[in-house]
Amino acid sequence: MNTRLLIAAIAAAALAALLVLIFLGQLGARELSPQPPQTPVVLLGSGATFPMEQILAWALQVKRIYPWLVVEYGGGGTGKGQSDFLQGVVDFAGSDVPLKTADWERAKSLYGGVLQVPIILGGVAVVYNIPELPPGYSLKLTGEVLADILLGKIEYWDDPRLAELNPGVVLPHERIVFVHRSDSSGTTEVFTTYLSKVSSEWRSKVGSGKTVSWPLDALGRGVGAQGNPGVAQAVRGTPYSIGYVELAYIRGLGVAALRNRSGEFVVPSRESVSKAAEALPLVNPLEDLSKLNILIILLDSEKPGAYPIVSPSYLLVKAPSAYTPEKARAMCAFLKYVLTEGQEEESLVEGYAPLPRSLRETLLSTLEKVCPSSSP
Amino acid sequence: MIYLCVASAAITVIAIAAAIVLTLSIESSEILAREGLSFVLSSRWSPSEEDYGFYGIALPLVSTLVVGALATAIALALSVAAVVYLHEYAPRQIREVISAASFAMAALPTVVFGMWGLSTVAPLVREAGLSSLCARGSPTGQSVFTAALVVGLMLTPYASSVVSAAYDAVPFTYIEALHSLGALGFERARVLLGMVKRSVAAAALLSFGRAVGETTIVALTIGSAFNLPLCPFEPAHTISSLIASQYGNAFLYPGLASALSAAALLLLAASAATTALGTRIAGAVVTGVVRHESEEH
Amino acid sequence: MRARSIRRRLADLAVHLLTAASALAILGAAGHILLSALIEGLPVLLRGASFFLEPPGPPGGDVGGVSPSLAGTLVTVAIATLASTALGVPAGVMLSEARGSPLARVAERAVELIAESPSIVVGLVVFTLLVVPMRTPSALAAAVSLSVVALPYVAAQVRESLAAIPLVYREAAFSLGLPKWKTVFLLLIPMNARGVATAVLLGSMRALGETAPVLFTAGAAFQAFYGIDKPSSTLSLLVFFFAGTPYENWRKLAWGAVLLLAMLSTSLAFLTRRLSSGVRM
Repeated sequence: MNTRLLIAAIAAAALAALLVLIFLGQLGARELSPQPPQTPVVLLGSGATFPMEQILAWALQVKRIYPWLVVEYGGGGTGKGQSDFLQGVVDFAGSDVPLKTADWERAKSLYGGVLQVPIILGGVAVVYNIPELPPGYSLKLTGEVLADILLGKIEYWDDPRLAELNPGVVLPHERIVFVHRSDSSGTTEVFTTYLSKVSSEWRSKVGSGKTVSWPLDALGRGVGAQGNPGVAQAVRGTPYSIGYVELAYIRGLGVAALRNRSGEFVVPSRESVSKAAEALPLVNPLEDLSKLNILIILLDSEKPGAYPIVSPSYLLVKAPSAYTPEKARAMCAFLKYVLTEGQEEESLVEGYAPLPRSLRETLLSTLEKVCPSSSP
Repeated sequence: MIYLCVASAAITVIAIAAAIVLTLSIESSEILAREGLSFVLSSRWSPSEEDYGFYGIALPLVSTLVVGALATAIALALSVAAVVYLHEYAPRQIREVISAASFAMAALPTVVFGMWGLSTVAPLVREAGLSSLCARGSPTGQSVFTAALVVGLMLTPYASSVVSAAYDAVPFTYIEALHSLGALGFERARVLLGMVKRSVAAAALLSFGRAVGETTIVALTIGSAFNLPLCPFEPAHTISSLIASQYGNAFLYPGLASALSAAALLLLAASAATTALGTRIAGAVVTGVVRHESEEH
Repeated sequence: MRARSIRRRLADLAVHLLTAASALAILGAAGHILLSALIEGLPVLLRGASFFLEPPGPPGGDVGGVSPSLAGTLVTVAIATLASTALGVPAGVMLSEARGSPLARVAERAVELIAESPSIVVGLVVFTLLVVPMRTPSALAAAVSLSVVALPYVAAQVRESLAAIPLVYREAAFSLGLPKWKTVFLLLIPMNARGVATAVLLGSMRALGETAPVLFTAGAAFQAFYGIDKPSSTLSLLVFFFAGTPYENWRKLAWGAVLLLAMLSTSLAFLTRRLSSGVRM
């Protein structure tokens, strides 16, 4: 009868669902450990999209060496990473800026210790979408002009101050639209710290932080996008827009050449980022890094050939005793890889620069001390 | 014994509803105690990592209501017109086709609508120059209008099923009478719509309740900006898109989690109030309308 | 009189065209959505087994597939369907058969409240109550969220279909000595198997279609499916996160997922329609 047929159909569907569940359980396990012995250890992270492409690349690379080590990184912005880390719902977090002292204390008491490990260097590129400009041309900007654009004082692309810096090209008479981050972002903090450093008006009116009140929002010329990828995509899709993204996200966009303190107009690249990073102090990951004002040291560099907006990105990690033994091993293995082979040319994604060798060694020696001795 | 089974299910359901309200209330208590009414009335939103900060939900609240109203208007206009067309003018085959299409549309996940809104509607709004009609028009095309349009489309099958069911329920004698009087299509429609006024109102309220709660579509199409959208082509934030984009980092800012929970509570209250009202007017319990979604109309 | 007649006919024509245009607009929009999904998504789906069995490629690299998110969707929807049915059917029975009793009246309000809750609010509550204590987002938490969202629809559908059975059947059963609640399960539900099946399918459809409840509860694990109590992802989350990225391969995957979701939900919808309208089709 029809009803019985229907019941049978439902039962069959339920059975199918159950089988799928079982099958997938097997599939998942099989996929992750091509050799039978070890069960996979999953390290879940979230946070900054600044280093995201590099972290994802490292996750793939490390799987080839340790097939049982799985790193999942969900992005979401520095704010989310720090928030998740403090709530204990992730194993590690990506953060472009160190924890503020109060949060650092909180993490220390929660986990018996916290490590803030710099893992990579990156630059914040100022990107734009101006169809009229010849491809390959890098718009020249100074920090003051950039701040004035974002304060709303320079409204059109063909403003005399922009034309003056870029005599060889004709800029269109279009209003400048600004794309910023809608989420709580370390990239924003790096960028706004730079603006605060080069413009006293910016410092007093807007300041720096993971989220700020952008003057252009109030003027209707600002929009928010989610994550570095979101900003890149928004700039790409919005003619006459300008935005800020980590160097890895500049594909297909115009990139500005910013004037550094020695007067040169520098385009962000691995070399120009590394030049600025020569000033990076040797940090102890177990300390409260917010007190070191690392950003202030690195930004608006006066070294020749250095790019003005440079920052390291950190992984926030609990003290190994706060993890289960397998996760502690996995975390240490991953960090060791990141700080050794992960810094080699072949392992690096375009748009990132390796940490200076001396810093790597300092970090590795700290890891040796805190990591369990049976690490692979 | 069976009664025990059934009763415990009922109790569990009650417990779930209670859990929702209690959890939100407890989480919101902190910010409501600190800010009181200015939480709802203030448009200042300044998160702070160090201290408590200040959170005023006025702007997203207004935008939520604007998007809801606009989406409902769009859904209602389209639904009523479609129902009239289907019942008064359309030949049988077209009626079947549109009915089937409407049903397929009702089944589509909201994220599909959202993706379409982001990839098709937003660029269209931008390229049609609609943004320039507004002083602070959205440069990307993501705006209150874009969100309302897509949400309205998403709601249309739902709204039209409510109206259609009521239309169908009118006793045949009235229809016979209208035909025998020689009433033309639009005249019949006028009379019949007048008779189902209550259902149309109910459809409006129910749609509004759902529009207000919609997250996925809005998050992708509204432009995520703290703005008072005096003009529909400006970007904004609704309470749901605010929660979706900010809850992830809530724990870093001492007051933010509480603020978002309070906003969620507000949203629940608004949605519940309008839906309850719509239910009373329609005379049938809201979720029972779902039956109409699955029946041929 | 003739003038009035012409005026009436013109008005009728105008309304005819206007309403037809409106119906056409709806059809057009629905068509465009499905067509976009097809045009953008079909090439991705047609890549064959890799789409269904592989994880996504790295940003800007190979396309790969949606395997882990598909697994996540299937698992969470399966659990959500089971849970919302297990809870919703008895609840619906209570609402229909014990209507008026204090328990049923409160339960009725509760079901309404859950139905009125925006799905993001449900996600928020489940995050607070399940994810934080568990210290990890998980497929389980996502499934719980989806169950709560689907629950009112299942309960209401069961209630309505039971209520539609004329009183005579119950009276006949009582007069034969069957106790009230046995009647329900021995007689009414089997009589109304179609209604219950519809309820189950509606529950699935709702669970399949929701993104907001899983936003904070499922996690963002796109590389593999790790188990029920571990971080996971769903097809809808994949679309939500990948859609706005600048990576061509990820956007392709998002469209593929969109098409897959559309296909799954449309089939469920037609199955439901088939069931509920019976021979009238």
